[in-house]
Amino acid sequence: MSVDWAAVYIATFDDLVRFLYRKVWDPDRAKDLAQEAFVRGLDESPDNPRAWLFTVAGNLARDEARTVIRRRQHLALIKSETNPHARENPAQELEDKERISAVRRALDELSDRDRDVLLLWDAGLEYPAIAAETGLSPKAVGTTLARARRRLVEAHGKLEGTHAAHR
Amino acid sequence: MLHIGEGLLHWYLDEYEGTERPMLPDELRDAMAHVDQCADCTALLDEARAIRVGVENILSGARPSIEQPPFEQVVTRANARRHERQQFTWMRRGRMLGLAATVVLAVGAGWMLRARFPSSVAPESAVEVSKIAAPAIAELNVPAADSLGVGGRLGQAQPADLLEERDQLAKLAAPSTQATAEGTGVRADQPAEALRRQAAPAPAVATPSEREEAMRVAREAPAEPIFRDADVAAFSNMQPLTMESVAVILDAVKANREFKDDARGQVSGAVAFDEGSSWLPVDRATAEQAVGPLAIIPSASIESIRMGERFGTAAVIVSQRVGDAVVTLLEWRMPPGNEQAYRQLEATPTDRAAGDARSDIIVRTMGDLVIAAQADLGPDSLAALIELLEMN
Repeated sequence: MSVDWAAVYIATFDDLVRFLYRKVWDPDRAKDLAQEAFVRGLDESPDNPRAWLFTVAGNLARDEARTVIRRRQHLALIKSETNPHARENPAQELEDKERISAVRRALDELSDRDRDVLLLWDAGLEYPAIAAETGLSPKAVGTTLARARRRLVEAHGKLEGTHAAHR
Repeated sequence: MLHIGEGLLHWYLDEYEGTERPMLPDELRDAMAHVDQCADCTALLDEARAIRVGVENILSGARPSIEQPPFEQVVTRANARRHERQQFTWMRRGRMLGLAATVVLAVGAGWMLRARFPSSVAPESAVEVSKIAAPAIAELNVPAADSLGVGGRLGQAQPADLLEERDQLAKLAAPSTQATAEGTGVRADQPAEALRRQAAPAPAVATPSEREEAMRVAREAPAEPIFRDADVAAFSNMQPLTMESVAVILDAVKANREFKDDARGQVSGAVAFDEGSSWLPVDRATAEQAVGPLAIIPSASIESIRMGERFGTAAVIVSQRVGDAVVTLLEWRMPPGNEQAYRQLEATPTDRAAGDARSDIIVRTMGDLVIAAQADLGPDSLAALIELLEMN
């Protein structure tokens, strides 16, 4: 079966980037990895291209996590210093950063599996696809999602509370 | 009846809310029938709905703005990847040919040496060989063994291996053996001279003390390379291959890996410019067409030029070899309105991790060209090199 990758790309790219962004926390890198997943896909004909892409993207993100420790912190400095939007509204930028940081830390509170299931769901995958991706049964996906959501809300609330107390 | 588990409620909300009850899977249909009659479960369902909305709100706070690049970009990238794979295959073949040529050269050189001294160690009988060779072998030391050329590996062997070779030679040279001079593998000039020197006055067989002394010498002698500096120099006079003329040795076209970036297969070190998209190898003209004139270190050979995207604009990574180090220059044109920030960045020393010289990055600007430089060098050396940068 040949895959219409152009159509899959249009339908899936944004979800894939969103999914990857929550893993690498760098929008450019997330886009790059999403494209990389499609580049690899062009040589393949999976039965379920969308699910296949998320599997590849997840692996790419894991590889990325392994190399991320070798990244140079000052590159982030260069990047933030040179971001043309960065100085337009410093207050807004700070607020955005804090918000993203809070989400990131709240997600970090979840177990790997809970986080994966939650992010796959947020990227638009349905239960059977999430089940196939994670090895859970579709019913267990619901249970995992319920737990993950509750924990995320609690962790985020706690962080918000701490933040408010500091202000 | 027990209350409904949260998992079922979330499953319902995620996949079936709004669906007509008869259309639900059996398990959910029963569960929802219970929810309809149970106040506690209705409350649980409402709570699950609220949590779900809460999660969506939280996650929406960390959504990147996504501008979908055209699909053609993916196709181009895939084609570049295939092209690179092909180049890599060809380069591997080239290397194999090079290796084969080296072997042929080595064998030929060995043959010539052998032909040059054919009769110096060609006694007429095995007994004469043993008379001549045994004491010489007993006095054998490592440098002599090196030039014997036995098995072609002696020069690189450790003393223990040399001893084994020496013992084998001694066995071959013993009076009972039928070995000929060729059989011993003796063919180079130095042992031949040693053999001639020792021939007349030497006893037929080495005494135990002589053997022990020879073994001691062999143990203590340092291993020497088969090729001397002069030989290596001859090989290194060959024209070095450059990246532009060969290929990229990479499994992925990303500069965030440690990559072998030169034709000699040496690892050029971790490249720190690890963000952004793919970095495709290009020639200088192509790179300058995209980014404008590039700054390079004059007189340093260019290992590779790669082009990619950084900060939303075309950027180029130039790798130049300076001595044993590879200097990596990331270059791009600064966007308008950012001059002041870049100047500030240029003046600010970078964050230098103690003990890791590779983490040093020095930023320089030349007109509107921004250059971020990194190398396996100390910061002062790198700074000195950056001062040499020139633009066409």
